[in-house]
Amino acid sequence: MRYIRGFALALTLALLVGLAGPGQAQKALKIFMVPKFTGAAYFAATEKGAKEAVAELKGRGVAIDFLYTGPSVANTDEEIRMIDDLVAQKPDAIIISANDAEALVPVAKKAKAAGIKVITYDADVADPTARQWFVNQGTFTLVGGALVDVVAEQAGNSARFAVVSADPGAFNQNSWIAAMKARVSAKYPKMQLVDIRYGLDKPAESFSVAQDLINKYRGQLDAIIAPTSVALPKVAEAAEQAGLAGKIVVTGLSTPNDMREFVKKGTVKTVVLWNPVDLGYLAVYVAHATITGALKEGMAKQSVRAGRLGTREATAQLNDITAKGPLTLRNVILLGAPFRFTKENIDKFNF
Amino acid sequence: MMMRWGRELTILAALALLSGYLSLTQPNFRDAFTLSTILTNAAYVGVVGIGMTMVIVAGQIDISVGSMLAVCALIAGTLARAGAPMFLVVLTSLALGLGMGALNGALIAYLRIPSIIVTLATLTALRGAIVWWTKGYWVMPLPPGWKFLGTTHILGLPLPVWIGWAAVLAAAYVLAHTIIGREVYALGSNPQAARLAGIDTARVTFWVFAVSGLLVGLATMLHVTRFSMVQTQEGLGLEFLVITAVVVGGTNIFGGSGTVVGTYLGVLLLTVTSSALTFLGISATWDQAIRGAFILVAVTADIVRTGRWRQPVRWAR
Repeated sequence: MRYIRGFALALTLALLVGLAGPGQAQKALKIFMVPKFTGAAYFAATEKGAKEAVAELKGRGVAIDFLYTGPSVANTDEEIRMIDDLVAQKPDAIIISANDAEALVPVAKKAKAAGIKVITYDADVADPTARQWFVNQGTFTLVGGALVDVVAEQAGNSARFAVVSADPGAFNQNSWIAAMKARVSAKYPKMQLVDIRYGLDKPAESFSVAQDLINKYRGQLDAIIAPTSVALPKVAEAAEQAGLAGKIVVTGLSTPNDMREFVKKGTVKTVVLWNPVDLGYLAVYVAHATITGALKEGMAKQSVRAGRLGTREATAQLNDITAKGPLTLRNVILLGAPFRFTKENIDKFNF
Repeated sequence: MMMRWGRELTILAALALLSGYLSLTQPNFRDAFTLSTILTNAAYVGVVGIGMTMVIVAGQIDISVGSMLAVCALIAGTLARAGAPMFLVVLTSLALGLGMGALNGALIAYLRIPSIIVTLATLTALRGAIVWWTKGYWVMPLPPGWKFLGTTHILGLPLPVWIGWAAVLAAAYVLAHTIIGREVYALGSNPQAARLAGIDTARVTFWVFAVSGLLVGLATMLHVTRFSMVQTQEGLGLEFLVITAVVVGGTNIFGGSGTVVGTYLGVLLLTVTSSALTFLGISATWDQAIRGAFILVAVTADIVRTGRWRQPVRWAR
């Protein structure tokens, strides 16, 4: 009898423990987000979007412990050290923007090996197997293409345009230019890229090459694209001082804060970039879907539901254009079409 | 006369040749606006070049000018944003330039640290300070009065061009016809002899750097008041451009000889060359190579002309 009671007690205990089992799923998910550095308005915008997504998920009953932390300045060693410390806290997922694509591979691999879901956003690590997903803010193809589309819309399908780039050897600049050329030949056969000049990401040089282009092609140049944020305001300034504000299309890649004045004046009607708020927002949804198993690494044809953004496709292989030829991106989730900042929406952004 | 102004005449001829060719083949180069943009872009570099000429003539080097320009520009911009009247903004830029130049000068003249080391340190430290202070944020928007200096035209040319010319002429006079001016040459051509002749060499060295800083402060105001924002990257690489212009302009890199008129012509030649690349459709990758070739040609010509290769190199004392 005593044994039976003992058995019953043991059974009850076992049942209680068993009941506690599902309770463990209610334990908050730990999601950490590590930007290249904190304090920059750009990354603060990604944080804002991430927290928005966390709040929405919480509203749907998902308990999340969210932590946004990173080096105070762009510092690869510091970022690696911080991720190391965070890995020791055994989060469910970690979202990283890599200061150095190569240098962060080992620490990302270590985190992944510890069972942590590793998501990169904004800046990927060099080895796609070191993480589950890269939340890509815009491929070269999409961003370069969008710049050409802006020129076509504002200066016509047969526009003659020039590019003021940074350094002749800058990989990202040259890749965007390669994508522009591809877009022109695919969609606007009458459009012409007449010249590419380099401001070396120095304000004075960017200004003078923009002036040289304007002076040389006076009246025969419809647009200038500056895919670098240092040169774009200088190109706008050169257009203004030549009396061509509004007459020559100036567009490029930059942030709302840096270009606000020129956009409001109308010298630059459209600035192309992506929306970092949405980028951070999507990254959290991707992290969550990876934790729950809704997104499985390496499986083709998947999609992730990301709140107000709708669904985004998760692609095992995505082809992009670069300066060094075609590139296949592995396991990426695209944010979507590049964002256009205009007079109408620019004041909604602070980065 | 021909001999004395030999180098200046050579550069002038090169400048005339290049500009003449461009004017004949490129109708838009002849345009008054093109000329005005080239002169304006050269103005501030020319003013920095005055100081650099003095420094190099004195047998020294100053590679911190670009960082000093950025510091002056960012602080001037911040002050203007805070509502300070423009004359105060200009004075601040001059004072800041003078102060930073004096710091360079004191370390070099009185602590006897080689100028290449001191100005390398200030080049780096000031850039670092900028990153720390601005966190990469540009200074903007600037008040409407900011662009008065940079965009007001007199007789068809922007104010910076006139101020630049005035500064070059004034400096040419001071260096050629005043005691302090001659002392700079004496110091650069033979420091021992200068000391024995009773020149306070430390004092001259100090002031050369201080004035170089002051001129950077002035150049800053000629440059950044053309734009509606101050970018943290302002002045990057300016030292290379200016030193190239000084050397191309005929100043002996080992000190002792050189003129600010030569430097100004050197600045113009480099500016026109840069524009020529765009006008002639030459790949921009050649820009650096051409600047490098200019230095080699100029320095080699100098060394052959003066027979300096027979003397031991003394530089950055």
